[in-house]
Amino acid sequence: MTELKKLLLGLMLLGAVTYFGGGGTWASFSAETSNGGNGISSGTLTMSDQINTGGLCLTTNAASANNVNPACGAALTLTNVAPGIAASTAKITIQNTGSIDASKFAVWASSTNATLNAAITSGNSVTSLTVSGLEGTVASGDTIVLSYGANTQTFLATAVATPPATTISVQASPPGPATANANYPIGATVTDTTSDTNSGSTAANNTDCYDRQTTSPGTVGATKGTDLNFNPILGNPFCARALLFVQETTGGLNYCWYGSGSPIDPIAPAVGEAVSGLCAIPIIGVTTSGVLTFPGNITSIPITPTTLNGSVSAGDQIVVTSGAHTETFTAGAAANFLIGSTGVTSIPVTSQAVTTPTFPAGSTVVDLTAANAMNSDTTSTLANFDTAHHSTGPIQLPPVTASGTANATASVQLAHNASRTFLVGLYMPAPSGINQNFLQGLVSTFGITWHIDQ
Amino acid sequence: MSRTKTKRYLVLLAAVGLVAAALGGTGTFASFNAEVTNHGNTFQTGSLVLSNTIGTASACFSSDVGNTNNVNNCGAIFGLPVDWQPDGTTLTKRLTLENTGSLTPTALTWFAPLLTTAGATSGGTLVCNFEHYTPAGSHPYVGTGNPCTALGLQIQEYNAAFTVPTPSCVWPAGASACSSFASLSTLPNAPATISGGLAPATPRYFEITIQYPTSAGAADNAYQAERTYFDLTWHIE
Amino acid sequence: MKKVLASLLVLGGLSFLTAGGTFALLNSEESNPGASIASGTLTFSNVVNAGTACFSYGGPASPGNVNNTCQALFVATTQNYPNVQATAQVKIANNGSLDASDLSVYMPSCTNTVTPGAPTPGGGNPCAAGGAQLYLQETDSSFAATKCWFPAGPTTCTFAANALSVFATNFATSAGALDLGSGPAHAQTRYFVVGMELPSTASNTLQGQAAQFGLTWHLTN
Repeated sequence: MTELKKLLLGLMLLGAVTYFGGGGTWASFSAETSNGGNGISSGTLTMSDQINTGGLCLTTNAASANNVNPACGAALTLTNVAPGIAASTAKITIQNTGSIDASKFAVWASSTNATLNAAITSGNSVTSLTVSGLEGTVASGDTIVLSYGANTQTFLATAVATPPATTISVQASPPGPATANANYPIGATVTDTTSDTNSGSTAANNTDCYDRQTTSPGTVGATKGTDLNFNPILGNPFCARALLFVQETTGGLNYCWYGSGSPIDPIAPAVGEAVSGLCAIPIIGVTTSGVLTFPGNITSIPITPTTLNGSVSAGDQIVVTSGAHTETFTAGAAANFLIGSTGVTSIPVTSQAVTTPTFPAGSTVVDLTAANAMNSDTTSTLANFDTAHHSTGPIQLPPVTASGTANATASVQLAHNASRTFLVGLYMPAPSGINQNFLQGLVSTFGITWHIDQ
Repeated sequence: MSRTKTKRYLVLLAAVGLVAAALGGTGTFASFNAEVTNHGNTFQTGSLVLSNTIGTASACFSSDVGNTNNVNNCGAIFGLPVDWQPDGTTLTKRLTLENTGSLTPTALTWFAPLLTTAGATSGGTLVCNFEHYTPAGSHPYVGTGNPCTALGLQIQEYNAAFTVPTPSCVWPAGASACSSFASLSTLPNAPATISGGLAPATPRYFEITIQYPTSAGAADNAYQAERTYFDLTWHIE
Repeated sequence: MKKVLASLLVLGGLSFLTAGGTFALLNSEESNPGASIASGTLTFSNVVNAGTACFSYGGPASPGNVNNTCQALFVATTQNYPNVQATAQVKIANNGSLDASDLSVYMPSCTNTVTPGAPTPGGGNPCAAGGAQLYLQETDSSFAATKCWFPAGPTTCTFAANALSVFATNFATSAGALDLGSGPAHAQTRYFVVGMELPSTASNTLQGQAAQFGLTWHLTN
């Protein structure tokens, strides 16, 4: 190659490098295309919680900025309750308000929890957490998790804190002086992850559900809990006795997720409850709306509309009473109930010929099977809900495909935009022959947590 | 939705006023209960005990014999022998009655019980009876007279010193101090009330006087060798 | 080239986001704290005549809501005479927050003793047949008769032979108590008069004898 040719080749290479390395303006033949406007966005997984017909409580505007809203409304506030009265319920509707389907949907008992009521600055020494709304008891040594946004910090409690405590004394975990690892503003969540673990001699005291003596009477001028000397709160006795039930009613399909008759926590299951998907909830205060004339074949018990306040399953014993007269029937089919329902006007019963005197309108109607089941139930208590079903023992909620049947293998448990409805209820049992005076004038407070995962 | 607004939607499904009776009495479901006892009630009775003291003798009590009737025969006020003559003279004995029980009776009464035979009490038909007898060392004599109609009796209440009579006469009953006698045969068999009752520890004092009939000459012999019996019963209730 | 490199970056990012496995997932959580259930109370007061209120919860913590030390209806300072009636007024007031479904009364014991200070007791037993008589009368707030509970009768009670003995025998336990029906409701009061008398036919064996007893009132809801 001549020197001139070598010079020209070098210049060409230099131009090529320049072109590829830094742009340039060498003229040549070329062609070019581009694919512009590329973009990628993440979906959302958020939820709303509605109690009855109230407003929606959203995770998106939670004060803790971490898609966890620990402070939706209280599901139920029951006062002046006596043993054996009708159970009270609230309808809770959970909706996946995000754009992503939830593969997991669960409910569990809240841990002892509170929200931060005094901000903590990153780098500052931390010896205590100022809180509000402490629900449950903190035992010394419990693990306390502080969370805000993407930040969390774990502490160890150094003293007992019981409601209405506003301070939780803490140290670092492992033990030692604690320094804040981030800013935690007011509203950050405070969770005692050791509570409800049912361990140690103080287990019954170290739960989210806690008891206090009432400080105001159930009716004006009456005695209240603090007036009495026979209702101690040690061991949270009311939490250990009050029964909880979680009854799903989505789309008219029933499933008892917790309570008497639930396949999750079965006691001697009441006849029919598990099959029908109905929790055992005694009907109390229900009255007949028409006359039952005997002798005759009775195939249904007419009841006063809107008074059906429990569940009746096929095979349950239905007892009608007027004065000293009683008659027992067998329910022929389930009778469902919903808050505000006016549709149920009779309880079908197996045809029965009887000769006892006429039962006038206003005779009382009791589902004795459900009543006996709940009155003898010592399993489906608030305390057992806390210890058996806290965050490490959640109740998974696969979709209900038929009353009493859930599809445990479903890949989606709460699709985006979908909602599921539950009746959450409380009942104070009246077990035969047991003096329950030690439960007079007590109030049990507890929480319930709903959780979805992508 | 703010937390405040959310919390405003609390559900209050209170069960105020609902009672377990709504279960229709179908079982023995336990419930709350409350109990008080009015303890230490004492419904007690007192007692009535009548003491009867003749003259200066020891008191005799209705309860002395231990029977359930609280009745005691405390002995004669006028004991045998009494050799009387129809001379119009009198024989007086003193009797003190006292309620040594704890109750105030509603009434103090007295009466002469019926006699069946001489000296016996109850069951008879006469309040005064007599029998013939032969005094020691004497020849028998059967008198024909009825001393029950001849002998008179008077019961007068006095103060504790027996110095001042009360302004009433127990027997013969009268509104002023006794001034006469009534025969033994007329003694009342039905209880006669002595006004004023007999409160506990408040004795009452009586002089009981027998008057012999005045002489009627030869008719006096009709009363020879006759024993006369009568009883006096004192009663509080 | 830059655009190629940029495309490779996007591709890798997509792979990163969609590979699953041990990578963190989205989640959301809500809690309904503060649900509560508060029980009511069933307590009552017992007032004898013009005395002070004695409360069911004034007793010891165990068994609880049982007070055995309320005022006596009939006291040892009175000695009773046959055919003379002794009475005591009793007010049962429900000061709890719950209505009572049932009130009952019973006499755990009736013991015969000697009246202190009464000489020569007769040895009889006022608790036994032939002894003292008792009635239980319900009234309105002015103590006008409304119902005779014992001996059972329409409105106004009258004494009956052996009544104290019958009551002490038949209504001696909580399980066998005399049922006085429902109520009182919360903030309501029921009024009773308890009468006692020795019959006019009482024998002298009952002199100086005393019947000692308790009267227990039991409320359930």
